[in-house]
Amino acid sequence: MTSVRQLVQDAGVSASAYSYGFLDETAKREIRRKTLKAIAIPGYQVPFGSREMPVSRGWGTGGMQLTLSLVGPDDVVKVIDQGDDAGVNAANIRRLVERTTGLSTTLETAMASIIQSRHRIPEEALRSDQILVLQVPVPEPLRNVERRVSAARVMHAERDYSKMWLALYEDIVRRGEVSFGAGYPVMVHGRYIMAPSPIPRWDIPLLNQSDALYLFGAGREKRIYAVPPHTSVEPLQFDDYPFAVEDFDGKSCARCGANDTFLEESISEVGMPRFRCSDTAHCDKVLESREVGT
Amino acid sequence: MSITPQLTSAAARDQHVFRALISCFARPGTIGRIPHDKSFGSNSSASVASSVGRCLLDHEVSFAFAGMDHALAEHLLRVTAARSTDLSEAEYIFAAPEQMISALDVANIGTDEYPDQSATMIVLCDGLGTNGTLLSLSGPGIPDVRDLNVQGVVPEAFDVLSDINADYPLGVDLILVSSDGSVACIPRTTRAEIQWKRDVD
Repeated sequence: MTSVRQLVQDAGVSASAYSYGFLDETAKREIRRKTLKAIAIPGYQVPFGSREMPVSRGWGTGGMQLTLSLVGPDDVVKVIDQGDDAGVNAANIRRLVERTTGLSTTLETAMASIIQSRHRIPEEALRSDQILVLQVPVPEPLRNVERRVSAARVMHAERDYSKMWLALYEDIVRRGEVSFGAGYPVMVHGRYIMAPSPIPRWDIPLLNQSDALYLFGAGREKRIYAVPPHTSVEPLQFDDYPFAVEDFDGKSCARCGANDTFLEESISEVGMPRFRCSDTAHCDKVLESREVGT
Repeated sequence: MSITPQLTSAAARDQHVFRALISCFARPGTIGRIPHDKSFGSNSSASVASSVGRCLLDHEVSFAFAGMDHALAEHLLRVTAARSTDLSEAEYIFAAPEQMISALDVANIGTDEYPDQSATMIVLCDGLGTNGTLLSLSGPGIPDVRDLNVQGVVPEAFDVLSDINADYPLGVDLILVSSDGSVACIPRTTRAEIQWKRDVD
């Protein structure tokens, strides 16, 4: 009996069950159109028809769709989850890219042409030939001050951000500081307030006047937005309550010894706090250079 | 056993064109390279524009032509299935350089709530990078100022573009292509000042 595969091969079409990069060309084309508009209007959330992906929405489907509509034969892809190449989410997305494109992937930031990330920007400075794709759970920065999507859209249209400023002010009155930890709201190109995805405050300055292009994909909420290179990105702040990054003064990575990176706190076996680099690839690199040096 | 999907030649061209466009949109004024659409003649700016059209157009979007011969329109209708419509409604406008001003006058600039629902204009110019009108570009994607030479487009067209795009975030995004496969983009965020112009022969 003739197998389906044999019939397919006889017909001269690809025997693969999927298109290159999983998405069909029509889906890619729509994402590409929206991506170009997103770059032309920095910080503005462009609606797109988010496709079904082989993982649940909320697990990086927006970032995956951006990555898969970008990749071609010359690319090397790196995927990180909270700075960690070995995270479950990162490992699975990396495997999907490998299986549906045949591309090689890397753990080294400098080797990658496209880096997909969840909640971190790599410590190592990105170059102009690199694109960072960030996975976004909640693309609407006004969500906490305005629940209605249509009303938030009008606020963006009118650049009416008074509710946002009031919320920041009230935060300071109640707690003595702006309490945003991850996803600190930013003003892009002096026009749109943007949710930078839940990156730590540590990473916010890296968005400003960067050499690399940043793309943001929210699969569940069907939004794409972008920060082009060399674009002004300013954290929202008051003159007397300026934005500040996390303070790791006097702390260093227990593994590589770095004292100039974003650190994650855990509890050691003896119950003491212990710090470790969040960016594992950078940590490896520092460790390697120390070992070579000694 | 799984078989790795292969990139078809059409999909490979679209991906290549997209990466050139994304790079040029992210860095306005830099010149990228786009392969000619071999199924539509060769070595003309129209076959470069055709590659751009095939990368971006499908049945979900509309396009219009300003001062162009019908061959490219018929080709794009056939291979992309995009809808042909009026200049004022089109999401993608293909314009001959001499028609750029009149097309800009009626092009859709989007709405305050949906500034992305605006026209992208593809202008088939005579050359990029040398001679012609010298533009000095500034804005997002440009560290300080970047110069761009555009041939075959009357300098006043860039004044009209600046006027329209002054109402940011409303505006029109411009893709310039020439017959040698060069491409440069001027998104609405870019300020384009005319530095020097040569009298059009």
